[in-house]
Amino acid sequence: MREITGHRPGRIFCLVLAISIIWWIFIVPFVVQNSNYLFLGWMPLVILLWNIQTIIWLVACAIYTSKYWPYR
Amino acid sequence: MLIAIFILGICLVLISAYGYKLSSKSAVDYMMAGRSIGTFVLFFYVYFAISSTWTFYGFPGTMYNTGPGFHMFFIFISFAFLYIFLGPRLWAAGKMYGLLSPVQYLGERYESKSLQLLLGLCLFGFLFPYLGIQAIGVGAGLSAATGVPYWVGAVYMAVLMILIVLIGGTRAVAWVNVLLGLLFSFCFIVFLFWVASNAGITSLSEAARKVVEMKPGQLSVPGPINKWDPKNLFGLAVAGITVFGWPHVIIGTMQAKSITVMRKMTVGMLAFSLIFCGVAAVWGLHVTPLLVPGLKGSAADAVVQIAISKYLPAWASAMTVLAVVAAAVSTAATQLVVSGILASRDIVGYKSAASDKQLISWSRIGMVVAVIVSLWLAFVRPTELGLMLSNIASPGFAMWVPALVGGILWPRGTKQGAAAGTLVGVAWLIIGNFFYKPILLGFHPITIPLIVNVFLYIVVSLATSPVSLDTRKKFFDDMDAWLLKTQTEQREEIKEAPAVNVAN
Repeated sequence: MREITGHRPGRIFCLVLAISIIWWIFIVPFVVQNSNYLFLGWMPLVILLWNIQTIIWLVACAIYTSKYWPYR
Repeated sequence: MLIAIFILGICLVLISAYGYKLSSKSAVDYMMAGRSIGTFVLFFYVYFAISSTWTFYGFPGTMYNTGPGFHMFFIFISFAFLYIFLGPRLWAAGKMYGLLSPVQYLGERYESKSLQLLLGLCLFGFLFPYLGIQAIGVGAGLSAATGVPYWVGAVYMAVLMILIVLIGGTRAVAWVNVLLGLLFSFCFIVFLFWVASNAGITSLSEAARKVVEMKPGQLSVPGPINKWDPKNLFGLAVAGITVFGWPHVIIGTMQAKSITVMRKMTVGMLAFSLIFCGVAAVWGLHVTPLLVPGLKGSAADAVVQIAISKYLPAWASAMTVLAVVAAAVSTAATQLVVSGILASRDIVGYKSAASDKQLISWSRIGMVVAVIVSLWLAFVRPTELGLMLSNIASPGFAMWVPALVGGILWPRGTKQGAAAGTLVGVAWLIIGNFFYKPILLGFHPITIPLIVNVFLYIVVSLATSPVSLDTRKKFFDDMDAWLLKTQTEQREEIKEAPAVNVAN
């Protein structure tokens, strides 16, 4: 972890992941309650948010580990 | 169909025997596949270690019963955290110091053999319900597809598990997972489209409209039986995030060939999960509620199998049972190898170095014990399949996560903090789940035990003396320096290679 927080891109990477985890654990459980919204007419809100969360991590990890990670 | 399933079992045992024939018979090779697993094999090894009967039956089945809230559990960002933040040091410890398991790592890092034994026993114990799920799933699936009694499938599963791991070891299990994973993926993904086509489902939005009419709340949270209120969802999200602590998942970091493998695994797992979990959701939320309405509780465990048996030809139904057996075998085999490592290296052998022959023997004994207990659980069947994982096994595995994460990332963590947190957390979880529910305060079973665990780990660590400077240097500074040096050298070699070719 020190190799990640020891440089600016790593700190930005950690910040993005930390914010997304806090959102996922503490806020999403409330946001999705009693919502009848269906994305594209079939995808429940909680699954849409799941997909967005996964894509954020996928993009962040792909960029950071291929361009900046000291252990790449 | 029963003959086909029997033939599959024989093929798997033969593959295991072949794998063992090629191995070097050392403990490192038997338990860790010689630390040589590349990206392709490791991807299937890990993915299908977790894609068990639970994925095929329990995951869609629980969403069928309780709605889309359950989807929060199966999130793969946990793997990204594992491979990027924890994996490199675990991998380095295997290469630099010859360590064979993450529990052994923590035993040496915390300078405590007793802690190593405690963590080994906890993980070994919580593997039982997860193993039990595989026997339950095969029993339920075979019963739904062929009408044979439930116990036939469960016993068949147990016997097969024993033969594969006793004969083959980790290398054979990795190969088996690749083959079975391909079969599983094909059935899980392709048959969804085929069933939908045969049943006249041509539009997901139209299916969604009908499902909501038939079963109000099916596509929203808290769901048709109001299960997923914020308290429960919070715990489910935490249980999902702590999946990296599952022993059969984390062991992959010490079996990988290189750090590059872990980097590729991160991207691969996240990308594939978008498809895979999406397919599970459509099975559980849109297709099976329309085609197989009216099931409740553990009866919904086999809802995917029932839909396939109803709308596809008999051979497709048989192939699905094979795929489920395949999924169960791949998961169970991986878990049994891990249970063997825990039993031999971390429980029996925690105090002193054992020979390769002793390690392998104890490994095998540990596996047999695990299968027998899991078969007993399959017969007792305390709850529906999906919840056995999310409410019992997964929270149990999460109880070592504070000691694990702190052990790898926080030099100030102490053995007293790790022991206090783990012991109290496990006790709270067991008492709350089985004896006195009010101590869970209405939250998902993982929540209060984990909060108490983390609190105790931090407070007791700060109140006790840290490990020696030598140990801190060994597990933090030396490892980081070695990782940086070897990875930088590797990058330089790759850069120079094309230049050398051009010069030549």
